[in-house]
Amino acid sequence: MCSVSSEVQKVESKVVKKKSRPVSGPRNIGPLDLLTYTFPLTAIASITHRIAGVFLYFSLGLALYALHYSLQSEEHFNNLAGFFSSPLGMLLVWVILSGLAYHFVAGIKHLIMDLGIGESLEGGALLAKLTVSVAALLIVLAGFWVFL
Amino acid sequence: MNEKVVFKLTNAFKMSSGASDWLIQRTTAVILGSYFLTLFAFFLYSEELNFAVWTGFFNNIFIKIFTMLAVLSAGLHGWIGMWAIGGDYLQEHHFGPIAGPIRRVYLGLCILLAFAYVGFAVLIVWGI
Repeated sequence: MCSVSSEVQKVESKVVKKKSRPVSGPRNIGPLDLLTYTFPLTAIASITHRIAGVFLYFSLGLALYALHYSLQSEEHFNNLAGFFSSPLGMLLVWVILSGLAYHFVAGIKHLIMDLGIGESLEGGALLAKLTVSVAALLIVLAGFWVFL
Repeated sequence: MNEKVVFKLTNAFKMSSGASDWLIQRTTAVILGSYFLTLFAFFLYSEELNFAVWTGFFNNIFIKIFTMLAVLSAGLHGWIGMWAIGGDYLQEHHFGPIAGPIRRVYLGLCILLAFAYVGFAVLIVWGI
């Protein structure tokens, strides 16, 4: 675990500058330089996995409460079904499904990398791109499923 | 299997804490992934989702056991994940001397939540 989280930190702390550094002149940076600093996609993919994980950890309480409520009686079940077909209910389901989809895909990336696949810099970058693309596709599909 | 995987698995069964955390994280992830795929399949293939179909599904003994296994996995998986995140971000260089107390309160809440989820799930699954 220690090695995994330190790797995560290493990736997250590696900030890449898009603009090339001037060869001569002052090296000091100003606040505006913040706009040109970006995290590499691998870092964004990693931190998003963590944010989605924390979000899901708290959402589980909501999901368990919904399950508990739905099993009470037919009336309870229909009330909940009514809420989940309201715009707010559908939005809630879609947001949670999105977190789940992203965390699921990024988790599979971890399992693939555990097998020793994609551990190089290029391999990692490619897998991060794949993760974001597949997750984005699933999130859009989940949107169709929930809202239509 | 390649050498690294064998090395990780060997360490996991020797119960060195990092390696066993790694193994628990992966095992619970596979259980959770399978559980959500099962739920997804149920939603996709149940033609009309009403109270009878819903309670019938959760009255199935396999689904009861699977649900308990999934919530137990979620508790363990979430705990390991939240522990790693707390260890990375709730640090002295972010929060100064109060980082220790903050981290302990945070970890306490996380573990409390994990136990609450499992307890609640026992009531839901075996209460109907």
